[in-house]
Parts: sequence; structure tokens; C-alpha cells
Amino acid sequence: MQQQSSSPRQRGVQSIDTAARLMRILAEADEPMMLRDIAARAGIKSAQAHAYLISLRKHGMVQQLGTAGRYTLAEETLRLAHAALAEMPGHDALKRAADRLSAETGLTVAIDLWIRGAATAVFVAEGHLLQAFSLHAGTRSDRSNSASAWLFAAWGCGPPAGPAAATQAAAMRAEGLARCEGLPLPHLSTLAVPVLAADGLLAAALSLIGPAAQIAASRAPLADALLAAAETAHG
Amino acid sequence: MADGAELPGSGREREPRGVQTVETGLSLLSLLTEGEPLTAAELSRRAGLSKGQTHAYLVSFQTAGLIARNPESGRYGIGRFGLELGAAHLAGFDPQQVASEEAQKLADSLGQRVSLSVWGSYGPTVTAVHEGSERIRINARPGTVYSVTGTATGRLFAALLPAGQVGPVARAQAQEPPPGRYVGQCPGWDEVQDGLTAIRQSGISVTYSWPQPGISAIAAPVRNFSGRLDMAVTLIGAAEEIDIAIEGRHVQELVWAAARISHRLGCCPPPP
Repeated sequence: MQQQSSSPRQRGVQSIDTAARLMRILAEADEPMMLRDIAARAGIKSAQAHAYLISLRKHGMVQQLGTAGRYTLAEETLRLAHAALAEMPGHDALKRAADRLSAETGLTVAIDLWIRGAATAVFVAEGHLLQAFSLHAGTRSDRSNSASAWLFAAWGCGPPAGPAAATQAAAMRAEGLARCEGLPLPHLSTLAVPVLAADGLLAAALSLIGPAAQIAASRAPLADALLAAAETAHG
Repeated sequence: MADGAELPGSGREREPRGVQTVETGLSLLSLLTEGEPLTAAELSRRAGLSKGQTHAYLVSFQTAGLIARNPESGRYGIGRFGLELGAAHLAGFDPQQVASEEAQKLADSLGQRVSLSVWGSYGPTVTAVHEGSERIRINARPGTVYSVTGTATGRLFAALLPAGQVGPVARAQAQEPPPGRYVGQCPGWDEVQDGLTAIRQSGISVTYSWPQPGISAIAAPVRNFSGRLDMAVTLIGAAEEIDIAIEGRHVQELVWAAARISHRLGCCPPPP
């Protein structure tokens, strides 16, 4: 069962390495995959990949869809995500603060993390004052539609921005606040503040999305409330 | 075998073959998704593995990023790759489709109609209708809006969403001259408050042979990854065929289906 690698103190289980590789292949795929394509990508035989996928399916990590039985990730990965988030310092407190701020303002409050190369919502409290706009956990965004993505760019995540965008990002970093009118949609505005980790890196972006007129009318108090909510992550 | 695959046979020919060490590893992993972070000793005791075996699994899971050791507590928890997997899955499925699959199973099992609704700008709005074997003479199709105070679905939303969000819509519906753009009657907001308290306590909303005589409905909430109310699942059928008792089959299966959808949408910890 145990395969010895170069160092005897670093003995692992080779089948776990392979199972993790198959899951990474499915996570990086844009759509459900055929068995033979997964096997080819992993560099193993189809029959072997099939045995791994049976075990992963039994534990709810992958599922098969449609008559072709293509493979994709499944619901137990969401349990993994919750457990990983719970391990992040201050995340639960930040979630409660985001929920409270949404209830008080009627606006949408979201927490984004930098996941697989994009600002990704991991918690969304939808505000009832926002109509015809819906944001869900799992949504990936970029600078064209998200103030959070601007903050991550300002803290050096993702590809380097062009000169104009870099100047804008630097200003946001200096101010500790991203103010984006017309994002994520033309009639909306977003305010976003950084949640910094102990090492000074950007751990999360906390954002508040609302009707443009309403954000413009009370920008200072809303920004203060947002900053106060972000502070809760530090206890 | 080098890849750890089980040998076929051993009296369970129809059981598909898996990889035993992967299953042992995933059981170890589930100890960490179900509760608090654990020490290596606790993990090995709970998984029933030797210290050496546990160490080997931890080495591979840490290399993959599925498990991480907290340097302060020395305990093991789920790592960064777990978040990446969940985020990839969240971005890849359609909640409405997941809900529809489960709603159709429920409609088939009970033989009654099951509808899905979300909170829209003018109140609870039907997004899907799944027919069972029993057909009822009541119109509901995607886009149909229910009364907030006078239907099981409407009252479920009224009980679980903030009053500041629901109250104005309920008043707007009540003030609309007939024929209203919604299904159901509109009892006053104050009249229904006791009923809403009961819904918050039981977690389900029930109407018996009302607002349409002879038709009963039971509605249960679905929550999403953020723990927020996402949609309602509603069972609708002839009053003499639907058992509205809490311990009855209809309520139990409906509640189970709603919980199943919530689970598949990623609702795991209680709402904040």
C-alpha cells in the first residue's frame, strides 16, 4: 500500500496522489469529462482511472451526469470548501458581519477570496433592495465587473495590469478602498475593502453592492460600516 | 497491486471495484469535514489506522493540499485544495437543475405536484412545476406569482425573510385592484403574524383546503452555500390525499427533499 519515495520520512500513499490528481483535472475542466479523457490527462489507463473514480464517487467527491456518464465534481467538495473556510482565521466572524451589514442596509454584501486565479465569491448575503441582479457563492469575477477583483489586482494577484489600471489600483491600495461606479452593472455601484492577513497579503475582499444613487448618497457612512465589518476578521 | 486496486470476485461480483486505499483515505478526510480539526493521534484512533499508516496518508493529503496542519495548534484541518475543489464545483452546477431533479423524484414518489419558487420583486415566483401522477385543476406555471400572506409558499418566505423585505410586497399585493397579478387571497399582514411564528418554529408552512377549497399545500425552505434562503419547495394536491400531519409521510418526504437540495447546494453549517 505505501510507496516509498526518495526520503523515508516522507512516505506517502501513492493512490492518494493519483486520486488528488484526478480531482484536480476535473476541477480545471470547463465541463464534465469522459473517462478516457480523464485517464489520458492523468497519464494512466482507463480501467485504472475507472477504479479511482468509483471510489471517489462512492464518497460523493465526483458524480456522473447524463447518458454518456461524464464525470464532474460532486457535493462533498462543498463540505471540503466549508471546512477549509472554517480554518481561515476570522472567516466566521467576517461572515456574520457581512450578513449583519446586508440586513442593516438592504444591500448585497459579499466576501471574495482569490481562488484558482480569480476573485471568487465564497459568501453572499443578497440585499433585497437590489433587483434584477443576482450574485452567488462560486461566482468568479474580474476587473470588468467586480470591485473585489480590482482590490486583488491592487495587492498583486493575477496578471499585471496595464499602466492606467495599475495607477488606479495603486490609488485603491493607498486609500484602502475600491469605489467602482457602474460595477457590476451600469445602474449599480460597489464599494470594496481589503481584509489583510497577518503577513500583509490580501486574505479577502469584502464588498457592498447597491443601486448607484443610493451608494453615491451615503458613500462615507457605507464605507465606514464596511471597514468596521472587515475589522471583525481580526477579532 | 501497484495501484492498490481491489481484486475482483470474493462473492461480490456485481459490486464495482474501487481502490481500497483511496476509500480509506477519503474516510480519514471525512473525519475532518465533519467536525473540528484533529491531532494525528486523534485521527489515527478515529480512523482505526496505525500511526504509521495515518502519517503516510497525511503526507500525501498535505502534498495535494487537501489537508493542512495548523502550525499553532498542531491540528490537521482541510486545506486550500479543498476550497478550490468546492469553488470549482459551485461554479459548475445549476442550482435550479439540481432542485428540479429532486423535485421530480418527490413528485414521482408521492404522486402529487411539486413546485419550486424563489422570492421575486413582486413576491414568491414559481420557477418550475413538476407533476406527479395525480392531476389537479389549479394553474401554476413558471412565472406565476403567489400571494405573500395567503399561500403556503408565500407565508414560508414571509416567515423566513426580513419583514422589511416582505411586508411592503404583501401590502402592495393587498392594495392591488382585482384581478390581482398573484394567486391566492391576501389576509392582512398583522393577521398572519401568529402563523408566521409557527412556521419559524416548525420550519414548514401548511395550508389545508385553502385558499382554494379542496386543495392543500405544504412548503419547505431550501438554503444555499451561504446559508441563505434560496427557494421554496411546495407540495400541492387534493386535501383528502395530502396528509398535513408533521409526522405524516407527505411532510416527512417534503422536508427530506428540501434538505437534500440544500445539501447539494452546499448548505452545511447553520445560517450565520
